[in-house]
Formats: sequence, structure tokens, C-alpha cells
Amino acid sequence: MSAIAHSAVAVTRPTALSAALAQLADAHVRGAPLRALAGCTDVLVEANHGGLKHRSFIDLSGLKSELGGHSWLPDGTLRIGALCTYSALLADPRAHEAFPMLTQAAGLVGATQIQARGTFAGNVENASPAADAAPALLALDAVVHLQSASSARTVPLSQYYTGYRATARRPDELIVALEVPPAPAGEQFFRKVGTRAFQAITKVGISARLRWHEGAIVDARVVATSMAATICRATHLENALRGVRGVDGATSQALRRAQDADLRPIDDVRSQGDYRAEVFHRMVLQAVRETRA
Amino acid sequence: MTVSHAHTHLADAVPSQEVRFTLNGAPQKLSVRPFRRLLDVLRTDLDLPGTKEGCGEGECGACSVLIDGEPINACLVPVIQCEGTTIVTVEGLAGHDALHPVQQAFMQHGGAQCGICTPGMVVTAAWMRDQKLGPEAIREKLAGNICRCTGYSAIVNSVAAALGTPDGTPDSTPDGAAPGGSDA
Repeated sequence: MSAIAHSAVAVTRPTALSAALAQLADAHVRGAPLRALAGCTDVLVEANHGGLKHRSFIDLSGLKSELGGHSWLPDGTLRIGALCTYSALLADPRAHEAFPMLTQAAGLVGATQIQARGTFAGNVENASPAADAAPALLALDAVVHLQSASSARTVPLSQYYTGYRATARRPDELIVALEVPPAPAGEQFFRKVGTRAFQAITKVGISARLRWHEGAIVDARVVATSMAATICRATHLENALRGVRGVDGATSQALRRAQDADLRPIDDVRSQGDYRAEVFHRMVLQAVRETRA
Repeated sequence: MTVSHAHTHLADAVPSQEVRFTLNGAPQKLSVRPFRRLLDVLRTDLDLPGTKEGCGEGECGACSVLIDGEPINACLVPVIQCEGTTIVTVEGLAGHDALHPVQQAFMQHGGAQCGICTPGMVVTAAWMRDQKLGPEAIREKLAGNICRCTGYSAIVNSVAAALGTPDGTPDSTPDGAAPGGSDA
């Protein structure tokens, strides 16, 4: 297939959410779904390198008054609008206090120019197994609010990924917001390993929440990045972490066995499976040490 | 090093759409194909070749311009997303009679070598100066602007000099003595 030229791509730019949803519904009925444009930090890379598979897009930049920014609900839940950029959230000191793992991810997703343009919702919908913000959101039990012309529904991020680069969103639906319930800051842990801190795609990453009570871990969320076809929770590892009081040799081995039951990372252009597994294991141990109350 | 696919098959082209924005202080009204990159529209349609193309994938920052006051990569912006925005390119930084303080500092401290990364560096540094960021922020905030010539010390020194002078007067500190400016 020859590359699609930029001049051959059609884009609509609605200025109201209702109009956008009507366009998505109409395109879906015609069997020619529209792909949404938000920060374009992924789509334009595809286009510039001739990898574009779509010719028809719907640009959301006219919907900033309805879908931009973020807000705090009375119970401390963070609501992130579909067009909220990384830099917009990073400008809010409360976000750093409440969700340090999310602001760390946002600050490492790319350099200044990418932070100013990229969106959390775009990162979720792009469905890359090497995403940075999406795994932090998954570890925080975030939910995805989807809307279509005729319906609205909420899908837990834990049920959002259905396969490699595939999501639960129907073609006539749009992510309108993400919601992140409150979580103690002390239990949050985020690390990404790439060739350098900024502007590097993640070779292996961890987003974890380890809740401690009376010297032992009582609850665990561990999300793996670049370790499988999608970002995913490592449930055997989460179970193995419950009851852990610290890191000794036997504990380390047990955690590694549990990890290997969950995650069998592959060799690819960015890294090797064995390296990924070993680094991930060490980051699990680091998470235990650093969140220990 | 252009990696984009700028070739146009007229038979495939979609209709032009009207896009309005403010560019370097002046209103612009363009009739353009919506998905064309802001980078190409600036360089080709608007005769502003100061914004450079390096990687074409948002990694190198050579195409940095300010949209609504924030530095962005013009290679990643379909022009239709510029509707209603305010854009400043490197050409818009200097006044009629005087260079921008960042440009002055780059001259004074040898911040440019081959020159391809320089416009993007200058734009990002001008934003840092607008934000009143200190020299300690340089290496993080400039991480999206990559240079293959200088080894960065001269650039960091230039930006540090520009940031260290809130009154707009270029710093006359010798190279290496600027705060945060030494690699050694």
C-alpha cells in the first residue's frame, strides 16, 4: 500500500460535542468510521512516516470548552477531560500531591513539546503497550467515560484493552473523560526505563500501588508496561505481594516466579525479553522498598 | 533530511478549508488542505523557512514554534488544529531594531553551529524566559531540542545567560561561568 499523502486526508472540525457525536454516528452507519485527532503526537508520526491507515479524521480541537482541562470532584476524584494535555495537569500542584505516579508519568512521556500537545485520553486510546500515562491510570483504577450520539457508558480501564492496539470503544463512541478515584500518595510508585529519561519510548516500566498495614502489604496493584501485547495488571504478582513485609532472598524468588506466571515479555526492536523480565523484577523490589510505610 | 511525504497526487487531494490564526502578531486567513503539517504551511505557503525539519516525528525539536504560548513541534500539527490560535515562529521573536535576548545570548556565547537546531532551541528558550524559569531547568526543559554539533555546553551557556537577565539585557558573563552552564 502506498503512503497516504497529507493532502489526501479529510478532516472535519466540529465545534460542539453533539455535532461531533452525530458525525461519528453517521460515519459508523456508512461503514467509514472517523478516527479522532486530539494532540496528534502519535497520529502525525504515523502520517509522516507513511504508516497512516485512515483517510478520514474528526479533529476535536474545536471542543476544548467541552472536553478540555481537568477538575476535582468533592470526594477527591480527578476528572480528566478528553482534551486535557499533560502540561495542563502538570501545572496543577494538587495533581502532584494527589497522584504523584500520574504526574511522574506525564512528565516523562516526552519532552516539553510533547507534554504541551499530548493528551491522557489519547494515550489511553492509542493503546500502545509502551504507553506511559495509561499504565499509571490503570494502577489508579481509572475509568473511561464513553459517549455516543445515543448512549453514554463507563468502562473500567482494567476492561478497556481487548488485544494488541485494540480497545472496547465502539467506532461511534468518543472518550469524553477519564476519572481517577483518590488513592494515598504514599502507596504510588512509577518507574520507566528507556534509553534516556525524556523522549524515549519505554523498554520496560512499572506502575504500582502497594498498600501497607502494620508492616505488611495488604493490597497491591502492579501494572506492567512493554511486557505484553497490552499494558496489563500482573495478578499473580499482586497476590504474591500481599503479606510481604520486606525483601529477602526467598521473597524475591517467590515474586519472580509469580511475575513469570503473569508476564512473558518478547524480544523486539526496543529491548530483549530476558532484560525486560529482570529489570521489571528489580523494579518490583524497588517498589516494595520505597513504598514501605 | 526530509522524511515527510509531501508529494501531492492531485487526484487524491481533498478540498481546501479555511483556517484563521494569528501569526507573529498578524492575522492570517488561509485556504489549505486540513491535514497538511503546520511545518510545511509555514515554510512553503507562508515563506517562513526559519522553522526547520529534522526528524519529522516530534523527537528533535528543530520545528519548535509557540502555539498559544507553549512550545510544540510543528511537524506534528495538522494545520486545521491552528484555527483560532496564536502562533509565534522564530521569525517573530526579534523586534524591528533588536534581536530577542535569547538570540543575543546565542550570538554572544557561540550557541549556534550548523544552525539547523538553533531556531527550535531559541523558540524553546524564549518560552523558558517567558515562564521565568531558572537556569536549573534548562537541561530538562530543553530535552526535546536535539543538537548534533555542539555537545550542548555552548547552548546551555547561551540559554543560561538569557534566563539570568530578567531585565532583558544580555548577560556578559563569560562562557562556562553562567549558572548551571558548565558541563565539566
